[in-house]
Order: sequence, then structure tokens, then C-alpha cells
Amino acid sequence: MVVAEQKDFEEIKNMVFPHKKILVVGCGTCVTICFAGGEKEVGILSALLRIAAKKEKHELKIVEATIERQCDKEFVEELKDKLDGIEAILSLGCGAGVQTIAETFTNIPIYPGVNTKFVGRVEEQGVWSERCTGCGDCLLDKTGGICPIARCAKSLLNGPCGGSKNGKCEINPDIDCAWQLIYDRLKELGQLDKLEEIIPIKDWSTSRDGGPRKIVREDLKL
Amino acid sequence: MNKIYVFYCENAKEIETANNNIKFVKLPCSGRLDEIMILKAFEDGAEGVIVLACYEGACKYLSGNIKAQKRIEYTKKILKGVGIEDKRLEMHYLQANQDEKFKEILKNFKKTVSE
Repeated sequence: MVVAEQKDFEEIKNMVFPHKKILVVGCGTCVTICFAGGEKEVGILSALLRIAAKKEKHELKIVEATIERQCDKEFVEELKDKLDGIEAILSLGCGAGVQTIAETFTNIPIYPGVNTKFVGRVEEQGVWSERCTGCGDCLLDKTGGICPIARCAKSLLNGPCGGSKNGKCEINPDIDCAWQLIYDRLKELGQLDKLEEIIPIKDWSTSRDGGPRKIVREDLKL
Repeated sequence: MNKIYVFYCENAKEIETANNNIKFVKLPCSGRLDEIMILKAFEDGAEGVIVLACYEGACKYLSGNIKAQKRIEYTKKILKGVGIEDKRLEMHYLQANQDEKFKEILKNFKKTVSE
């Protein structure tokens, strides 16, 4: 899932306080699961903004809403009924959600309430970590299901580097060396021979280097 | 206006009649406490919020009081961002027969929030 983190309150306040009536929109998918921008966070943030506005004697009306998915125009259009007098929208969705709202309601300013961090997984309650950078050419078959692009600080394709010590990465002793994990996993699978294979230089044009990406499935288009 | 909100676990405190200045909110367990409840209390004009939980190891649901403690710490942090001081949110451990202790807590808290 996409993992995000709520922005600093002061930053959010400075974005929305020039307005008198705003819509705070949560998203019911990834950001709900990572507690950054679901219905609960919409309630908490709205309450904090109201308290701050009252303290600073600033007139601010807040309309709250949470939709199923902000990255889907079909759901975003449900917000139409809530836009009466709205001067700005504060989205707690990921970057894709914010932009879908911006593309749907072109005449209302939209502000991001969260920082979108990475594609990752829940390690335990309250802990998320990165697992995928969306490089566009998955090589997990070669690395025992552990991604060196996302989990090695240097994104090495043929690791480990000299900075691997006791299974940890030199940039931070709390970070596992991805290549140590790959080695351990392949050993457990009896596939250490895979490490004999040199992974060739990656074609990064499938990643961000190729510019904004798009997938078109003609069979699915209406 | 209710100046002080008291969120209490029904196992930690007997029901108290509300008066003009104190609003009692009964919870099935302090673990039911949500950040938004505390924020709503402050939005409603509360000068302070007290949370009463069972002693550690005495929670009927095992870890409700520990969860409440963590949520209170988080709420204090976000309240600071809007200029509401730490002292306006307190958590205390109590059991149902400690009415005198509660009266003392309340007395001290009233003093703290009015300072």
C-alpha cells in the first residue's frame, strides 16, 4: 500500500487559514490503514484546526468528508454536493488522490495534508517500512523475494557492498542489509546458486527516468 | 458551561452526577478513549480533561489503560501544536473505592487549570 504521514500542523494551518470555509477530505484506502488520512484523522485534524482558529479569532468553517478512494474520479465526484461555499480543499489522500481532486474540481484550490512516503507494508501495529519503489521491471525472482532496489540504500543489483556489517547497513544500524537478507533467504531456499548470476545493468527507463508512466489496457476501456 | 471533562472507566470509578462545571463521561474501559473525544471536549470549551483508568494490571480488558496512556501522550503532543498546554490533560489511576483520592485529584486539577 501507499504509506503516508500527516504534515506538520503549522504547515497545514498556514495553507488553509487564508480561507474561511474549507473541505477536509480523507481517503478510505491506503492512508486509512496507515493512520495518516482516514475518517478518524479527518476528525482529529478538523478539530485541531477549529481549536486553533478559535484561539486566533479566525473565522473558519470546516466540512468533513471521507470517500472510498481519492485516486478514482468516480468517488471524487461524490464530493460535488459538499462544495457549496467551499474556498479550498484539504486532502489527506496520497499524491495521486490530491491530484485527482485537483483534476476534478479545477476551480477550487487544493492542498495536501499528508506527505506521501513510499509503497510499503505494515511491519507491526504502528510501524511501516518501504518495500517497493515501482521501478517498473520487477526482479524479485532473482533475489529471493527481497527487493534490493527498495531495501538497499545504494539499490545495488549485485551486493552486498563493503558497508554491510553484522547484517546491518552502514547508513543506519537499525536497517537490515538487504543483500544479507537476500543471501539468508536464498540459502534457506537452497538457491544460493542464483547469486552466481550477475544481474545486468538495469534499464531505468521503466522507472521514473522514463518520465511519467502510464498503463493503457484497451481490453478494459469502455 | 462544563469547564472540566472527566472521562472515566466504569470499572475504575462509580458514576458521579454531573454538575455545572464538571462533565463526567463514562467509558466501558479507558482503552475506548479516542483522541477525538478529548479534542471535542476542548472544542466544547473545556479548560481541562481528566482521564481515570484502572491501575496497571487491573484492567478488565488487560491493556486498555496502557492504550489510553499512549493515546493521551499523543493527544498532548497534538494539543501542544494548537497552544493547549500539557497540564490541561491528566491521566490518573484509580479504583472504584477511592473516592477521596478522586476528590483530591479534582481539587488539584482545578487549581492547575486556573493558574
